[in-house]
Parts: sequence; structure tokens; C-alpha cells
Amino acid sequence: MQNKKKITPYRVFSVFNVIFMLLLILVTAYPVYYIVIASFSDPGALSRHVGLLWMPMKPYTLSAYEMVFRNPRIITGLLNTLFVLGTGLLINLTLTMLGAFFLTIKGPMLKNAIALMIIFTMYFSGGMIPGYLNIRDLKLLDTLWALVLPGAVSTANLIIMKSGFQSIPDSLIESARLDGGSYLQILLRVMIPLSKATIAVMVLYYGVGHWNAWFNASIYLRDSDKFPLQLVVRNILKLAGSSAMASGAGMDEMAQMAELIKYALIVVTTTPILVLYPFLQKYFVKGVMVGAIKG
Amino acid sequence: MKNKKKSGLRRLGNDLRKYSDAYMMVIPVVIFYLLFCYKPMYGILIAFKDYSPAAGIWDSDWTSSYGFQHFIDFFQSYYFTRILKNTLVISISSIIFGFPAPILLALLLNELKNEKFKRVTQTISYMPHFISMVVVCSMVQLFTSNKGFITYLLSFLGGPDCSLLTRPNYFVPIYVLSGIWQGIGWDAIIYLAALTGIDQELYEAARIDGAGRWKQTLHVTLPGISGTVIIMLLLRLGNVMNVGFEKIILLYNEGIYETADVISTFVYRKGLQDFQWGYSAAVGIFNSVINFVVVMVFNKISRKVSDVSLW
Amino acid sequence: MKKLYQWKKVTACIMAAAVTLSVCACGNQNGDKDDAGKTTSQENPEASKETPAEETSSEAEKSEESQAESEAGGAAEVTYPLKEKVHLTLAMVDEAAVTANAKNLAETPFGKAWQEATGVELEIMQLADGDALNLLYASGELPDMIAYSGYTGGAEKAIKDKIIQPLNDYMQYAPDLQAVLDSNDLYKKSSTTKDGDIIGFPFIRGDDYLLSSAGLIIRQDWLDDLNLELPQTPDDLYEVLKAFKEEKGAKVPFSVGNWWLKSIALEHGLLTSPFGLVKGNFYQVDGKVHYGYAEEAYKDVLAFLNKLYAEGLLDPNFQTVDDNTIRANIMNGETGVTVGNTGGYMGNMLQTMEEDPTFNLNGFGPLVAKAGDVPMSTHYDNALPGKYIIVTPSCSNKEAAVQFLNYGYTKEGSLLFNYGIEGESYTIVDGEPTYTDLIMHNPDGLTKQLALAQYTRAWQDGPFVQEKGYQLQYADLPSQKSALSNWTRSDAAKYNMPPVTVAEEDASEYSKLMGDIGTYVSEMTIQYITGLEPLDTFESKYLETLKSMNVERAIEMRQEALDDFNAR
Repeated sequence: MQNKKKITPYRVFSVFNVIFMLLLILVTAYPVYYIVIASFSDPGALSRHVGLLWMPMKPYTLSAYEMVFRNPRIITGLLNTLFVLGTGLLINLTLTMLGAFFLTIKGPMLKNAIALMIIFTMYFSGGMIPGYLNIRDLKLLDTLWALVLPGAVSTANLIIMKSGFQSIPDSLIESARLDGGSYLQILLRVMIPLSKATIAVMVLYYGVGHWNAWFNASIYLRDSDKFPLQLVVRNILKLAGSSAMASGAGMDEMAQMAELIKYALIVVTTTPILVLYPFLQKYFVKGVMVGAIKG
Repeated sequence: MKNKKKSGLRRLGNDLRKYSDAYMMVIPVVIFYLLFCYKPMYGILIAFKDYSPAAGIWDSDWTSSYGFQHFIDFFQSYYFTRILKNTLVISISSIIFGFPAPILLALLLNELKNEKFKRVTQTISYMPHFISMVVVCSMVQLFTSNKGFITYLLSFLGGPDCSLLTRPNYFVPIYVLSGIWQGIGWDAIIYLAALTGIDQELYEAARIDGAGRWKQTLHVTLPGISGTVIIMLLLRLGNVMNVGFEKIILLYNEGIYETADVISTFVYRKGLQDFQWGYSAAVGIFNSVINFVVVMVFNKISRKVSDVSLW
Repeated sequence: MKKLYQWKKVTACIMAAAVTLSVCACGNQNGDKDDAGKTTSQENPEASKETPAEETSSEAEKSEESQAESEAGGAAEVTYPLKEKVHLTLAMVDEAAVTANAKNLAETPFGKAWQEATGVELEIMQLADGDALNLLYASGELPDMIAYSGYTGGAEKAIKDKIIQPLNDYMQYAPDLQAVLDSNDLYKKSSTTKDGDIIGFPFIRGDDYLLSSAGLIIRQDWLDDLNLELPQTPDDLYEVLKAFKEEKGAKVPFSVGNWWLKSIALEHGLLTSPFGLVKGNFYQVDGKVHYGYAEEAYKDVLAFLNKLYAEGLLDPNFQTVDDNTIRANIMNGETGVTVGNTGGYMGNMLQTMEEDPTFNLNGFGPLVAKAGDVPMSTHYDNALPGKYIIVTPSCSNKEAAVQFLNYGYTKEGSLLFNYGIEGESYTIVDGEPTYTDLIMHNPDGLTKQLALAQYTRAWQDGPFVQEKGYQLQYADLPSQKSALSNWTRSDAAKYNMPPVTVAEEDASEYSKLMGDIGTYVSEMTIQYITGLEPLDTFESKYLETLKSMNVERAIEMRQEALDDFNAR
């Protein structure tokens, strides 16, 4: 039997906190729920429906999914995206951690100059045309590397990583230094194990970035077999939208399906990336014990 | 003079030797920036030129007014002050209301005792981030239409019974709140990560000193994430002029241009008629300069006050 | 500059000579019939040598050229397939309807048939969207041919920027295009710059029936129930809407989205004729350019819409309502009139309501002042919407490229581009090419559009003349046909602005002016319709502000462009 506990302000707060979270779940889950049920609904009934939707409109149908998966580019797109995601993440994380760690080291004379050089690019860039000519001159046009290399480091992420490293006490770096460790060793043995949460954030930021990217692909690729998933998706949406609205178009089942396809595509393309999260989530839950590593 | 230069060089030499392995680490990063960011940097010139693809960026003619014609055209636009004002209003309201929201969520999640509930809440709240803007905006329209439930709720408080997006004074709140709705869970992740970085021993020490939950939050948790908060705030302030056109275009209509039309949407509409590389580059540079100045100023303040800075 | 011009003359001359000689040579060749008309200068290396240098004098050139023209344009026709095996690259923006079922255009049944017929090996440079195309222009490294749909500063600028190779010196290789352009003055003017350069191989809508695709849509079954005729005048429309509201219980009898109201109904003059205004946007009356939104008469149009709005006949949410809601409202009996198109609106709704035999739609023509009048405007696209396949100056084999692109204008080519492959995608029924079930009811479940995209270009654009037969079979429901014939009846051709672009040097000023003016007009239009701004201020505020925004200068620039066009 549990004892009756006193009503403390903190307990009141806890109750409200839970209620607030339930409300938050409600408002953030609804759009997701809507998309899923809409993607299974009857297109005709859905197009006549006005207002909130609580149940899928009968008769249920999988035709939107059939139409999406009939497009062979969905599969090639997925493979291309996975390639970009894999190689991209590897390069992103390596360069970002190297750069961020350098900026946390106290002492190097050129540190400020390099920091300023990096920050400057957050605000000023040459724009699309010279960027394109650069990719062309590097012979990267129409290769998947054009999707990986130009975004190898995101300056904002580098700064966030740096602030993660900075929260680790300097004394750790110094003592490792006195033990004769090189900076690379310190990065690998001290900084990375202590910054797992921030690194998990980096994986998420860069990973989702690669997953959703389409713009570079749209200007650097010339072969639809190389298009990443999101570019394929955009094209399908454009097609569905244009046949829905095409001037002079006749009766077209695609037109009716446009809404459904939109929802089915969201389901198909976001499920894989949503799956990533629970794997990373464990790094956000438990706090680290700096002392444990120190000792 | 010569001596000083020499000693400077010598110091640099010593420095390079002393930190050689640190510099080795950063070389690939520097190469990346030189190759992919600085090599194409000459493209900035396009803002000062009448760009012609045949001539290329270097050989295109300078615009009149000493190269500043695109800027002058922008400043002289009938709507310049309005779109500048709207951009700032939307951006600053987003910062004031949108920036603290995920921090608050992270702190509240931190207070949940049931691990499973915490995980579920977190996972669900970050999902709207993955829904495409088109769908998010069509839902916002649905909720704020004359039959929408937000309109319905507001009508009890004296709100209008027509679509809220036809009223200029509702646009900014709708924009900001829907932004929070879409981003709160995702944006909280970085703060959750920062919370895990707090040394658990500090909580124990505070508990031994007799600090309650509230005191622990105030004296351990907040200082523990303040570095991340400040960095995120500085990064956000450095985007103060960037209000993307995509969401606004999906939400606004001509009836509420008065509060909803911003720099990016104006340039976008203009580009639909006739795309002008130089003009849009000039607008981009105008925004960047302001962003850069803002971030420099606040970075300096932050460094003085809190010892946290972007660099 | 002068040097360049002379060089051009020399080449023209050499070319002309080459043609003359090769045409003569054909007689002796006595080979395969297919080779007969095949003419490229490469084939006759001697030809250029034999051209005496003196002939570069202008008179000699003229005579030589006209001779060549008569020979090439008249007698010679290009014979397909071309004898020489050529490889050509065409850059085009990705069309999802094509790539949904094939790697690219060259690998569709259509693309293969085109290559087989012409003997050209076609490679597609697939660009994801317009940005990529802009960058391709900017990069200066161009493929042989490009699917072109405009360029900042117009075609003149594109020629100057070495993106387009004018076809003037190559027209002898495109006799069928020449014949099409000769057949219609508008075609010729539209595809020529003011300097007289021929831009490229245009997409031509060959029938007025293909020019309109949107207009006013109405619940025909309601009209029948109430014994009402299709409305013609503003008063008719008002009465019909009132009847819909009172007797059919329609809550928002006239619902139309903001975009459709502004960009179709006003911009194309669906509601303006009765008030003496052709349409909202730019139009011409006897060669004089007007900007409808800056005309006095626009006030009466706004007053009419304001009246509908005030009486609850026009959807109070017209600023924000989206297509889906409007369609749902019509199908659910809340709305009786809208502005939409044959496909997305009519086709979509009729299909959804298939099981309800009472539900029926129709289209009615733009409003007029007096029943029986012909409206001054309607939704009307230019016969040449500005889409070309252009040959670039860096093309590896211009003669072959021109011959290749000419194919779409030949008799066989036209059938291929419009209907696809005989026996597969179409058969001749009663003398008319008729799509087979492969298109109309595809066994693999492809929609009509997707099937057409594999076999034809009629669904989109291309270097050919689009035929009416496509539209008749594609939009084949009786309501759609009736709507199209109601929508197409107008004097639009008389008032329509031809596809002109303002002069290159004015382009930046024009776009700056119209950026502000366009924003102001659309903003004030809404305010006048909703009554937020009283109509009394139309002259004192609205027209005055437009004047201060220098709308007259913008009109003047369009006027100059039109004058140039008419002078061609």
C-alpha cells in the first residue's frame, strides 16, 4: 500500500505537466493521423469531405500506394538517397567534429581567423551560378558526389558541435595532453565518448537534411536514374498536381488521386526516417557521468 | 618595424609547430571551405552587374549608379518599407515566442518521471517536422477557415466568423503559432541533448544542500544548458532577415498583403514574371549584411556578458 | 560586328551553293529512294570549294539565295530517315508523366519511333526543373538542342547571348516548318524576332478549339430543374445565383478561388465584357495597348462583384478557399457556379459523381451586355505559347538537327506527334485518327495522360502542330465538349496581345514597375470586392496611385513591343 502523500506545489505541477503533454500529443499527432487515414480513404468520398477527418472514408483503398510504388524511380530514388545519406553522414561527422574540436582548443594563433572564415560563409555565398560552375569544373556534374560534397560541413551544425565540446571541462583535455596524447587521440578517446548526445543530434540534423534534400539534385543531376527520393517525390507531386489542374486535360483518375498520392508519399517517405529516431533517442535520455570517466 | 614583422612570423612558425597536430586536423575542413565556399564567392559581384550568361559574371557590365542600381531599384520599390517592416515583425515575433517554446518543452519533458511516457511524447511531438509544408499549411487553412475549429473557438471570444486568414491582424499570430506547432518537438532535441550533458553529480550535490526541484532547475539545469541556449539564440538572430517564402505563399492572399507580404515573397512574385539574377542577388546581400551585423553585435555582447560566443 | 555579319553572309552563300549543287547531284546518284532529298554540306565537300569567292558580293548572294530557296523550299523536301547516322543531344526539363514509365523521352515508344523515322540517335539531357535550365544557359556549355520556353530579356537576348541559333540560314532544311509558317501570318510573326531571326521549332496549337480550357462552370441539372437558361448577361447571372440560393439552398451560390478569380475570370475577361472592358490584363484595340486594370471601366466590374459579395452570392471566403473545397461544395450542393477548367474541375467532379445520374455540369461563355452578343474576350492562350525546340550555336550538326526537328511538321510526323504509332496507339476510323484502347483504357492501368505521354507529344508540347482531334478525344464527355464550345466563342483573337516581350534594354525597368503594379492591383481588387475600400475612391485613390506608380510607362513599353511585332 502506498502512503497518501501531501499535496505539494511540485505534485500539482506534475499533474499539469502530464495534462499539458497529453494535449501536445493530441495536437501534434492529429496531422500525422490525418495523413495516414486520408491515404487509405476513397478518393471520391475524400474529395467531397469538408472539415476534420476522424475515420478513413470508406471504401478503403490502397490504390494511392499502388500508384506510388508502380513508379520505378521510387526504388532507385531510395537507393540513391541511402548512398548519399551513408557517405554524406560519414563525411559530415568527420569534418564537423574535426573543425569543431579545433575551435575548442585554446591556443592556436590562427584559430580566430579560421573561425571568422567559417562563420562568414553562413551569411555570404557566391550563389547558384558560380556554385554550379564550380561543380562542373570539379567534374562532379551528374554524379551523386555533387549531392554530398558541397554540403560536407554545415556551419551552424559545426558551431553546435563546438558548443557541445566546450561543455566538457578543459581540465580533461589538458590532463590528456600532459599524458602525451595527440589532439586526434583526445578527440577520439575523450571528446567523442563524452559528447554522444550532441553527436546523435548531428546524425539527426545531417541525416534528415540529406533525406529531405532535393535542390542540389535538381540542379546538378541530368539523369533521372540518379535522382534521390525527394526529387522523385517532387516530380510525382508535380505530375499529380498538373494532371489535377492541367488546362485542357480530360477526365483523369490521376487528378482525383492527387490528394491521396500526396498523403501516401508522405507516409512512404517519412516512415524510414522516423524509424531512425528511437535508435538515437537513447542518447538523449540518460545523462552522462563526467566523474565516472574522469575517474 | 622589420623586427616586429620577423618576430610575428617567428611566433607564427612556433605556433604552427606547437599546434601542428591541431592544424593537421583542421586542414580538411579549411580545404572544404576554400573549395566549395570561397572559390565561388566571386558570384557576389552579380548583384552589382547586368548579368549576361554569354559574358559570364566577370565580364558582364556593371549596373548604373556605380554598380548599385539593383539595390536602388529595391529600395525605391513602392512597397520597400512595408515588406521590410513585415519581415522584421514576423521574424522578431517568431523569435520572441518561438524561440523559448522548445526550451520550455525540453525542461518539462525533463520533469516527467515515467520514461516511457517521456519517450512517446517526445517522439510524437517531433513528427510534424516531417510533414511537408504544403500539407501543414492546408491544415492551418482548414482549422482557420470559417468552419474551422479555431475560428469556432475564437468566435466565443469575440473573434470574426469568417476565415481568419482574410483578416490582416490574424496573420502573424497564425504564422508564429503554426511554426511552434510544427517545430517545437524537433527544436527541443538539441536542448534535450544539452540536458544530458549536465553532470548528474551536481544534482546530487544540490539535493544534499536541500534544494527542491525548483531550486535544482534554477541553479543546476538552467546554467547547464545556458551555453546551448545562447548559441542557438545567436544562430537564430543571425537569420533575422530570412523569412522563407514557401510557407507564406501557401498561407497568404492578396487581401492580407498588408501584414503578410515579406521581402522573400515579393522577390519571388517578381521572379515569376521575369527572373533577374542580379536583382535577387542584391536583395540577398542586403539581407545578409543586416544578418551579419546583427550577429556580430550580439556575439560581442554575449561574449562580454556570458563568455559564450559563436567563435 | 560587321565582320560577323559578313561571315554570316559568306556561310549563307556557301550553304546555298551547296544545296543547289547537291540537289542537282541527286539526280545522278540513282541510289536508294530514301537518299534522294538528303542534303547536307558535309556530303558535298566540293561544293564549298567550287563557290567562287567573288560571289560574296551582295547581289550575287541574293540571286544565289533565292535560287536556293526556290529549289530547297519548293522542290526539295527532306527525306526520312536521314542517310547519315547522327547523334544529337536534346536538353529538356523532366516531365514526370514521361519519366513515370520510361527513363526519358528518347526511350518512350514515341521517342523510339521518332528516332527510327528520322535515323537520328537522340540523347536526352534530363534537367530536373527550370532552375537547372537557367544554370545550363549560364554555364555556356550547351547541348545540340534545347526545349526552350523563354529567357530573361526575350529571344533577341538569347540569340545575342549565343543560346539560340537563328534558323534563317537553315530553313532550306526545314521545308515543312517553312510551309507551316507561310500558311499563317501570326505563326510567322510569333516565331520571328523583331530583327527577323527565326527562333526555333515552335509548338503550335492548330485550332481555336485548343486555345481555351477554362471558363465559367455551372450546375446544369439545377438550371434544368428551375427551367433556366445558361446565363449570358450580368443580370442573368445575378438571377440564376439568387434562384440557386433561394430554391436550391446553395449557401455560397458562386464560389471561386482567388487565383481563378484574378488570373482567369478577370485577367481573361470572363466577367468584364458587359461593362465595356475587354479584360483585366494587357490587351490591344486596333494596335493600341491597354492595361485593363487601369481603365475606368474596371470600376463597374468591381461594383458588380461587390454587389454579389455583399448579397452573399459570392463566396465570402473567396480569398482563401481552395480547389478541393470548391469542388466539394459543388458536389454537395452548396455551390452552383464557379470558374474552372475542363480537366481538374469538370472531369474530376463528373467522375466522382458518376453514380448520381442527376448531377450534371456545363460551361457558359463569358458574360456580355446583351443576350446574343459575342464577348470580347475569353480564356485564350496564344496559338504559339512560346515553347520551342531551339538549335544552339554550338550544335555539332546543325543541318541534321534542323532536319530532325522538321519531322514533326511533316504529314507522317504530325500523326506521330499527335496520335502516336498507327496500329498501336491509334487507328484510322472513318478517316480520322482515333486513339486505341491502349490510350483510352490502358490495360496496364495507365491514365490517359500517362499513356499519351508514352506515345505522343499532344498532351504537352513539342515541335509540331497540335490537332483538334486530340482534345476532342481527351476531353470527351458531352459536358466538357459543350463547355469548350461555349468558352471558345469570342472575339479574343482581335484583342489578344500576341506573344511579345518588352525590349531587352527595358526588361529590368518593366519588371520593376510591374512588380509593384501587380501587387497593388491584386490587393485593391480584393478590397473593393469585399467593400473594405469604398468604390468612391476608385478614381481618387486607385487610379491616381497607379498613375504615380508609372503604369503609363509600363503600357508604353508594351506598346513598343507590340509595334515591333506588327512591323515584322
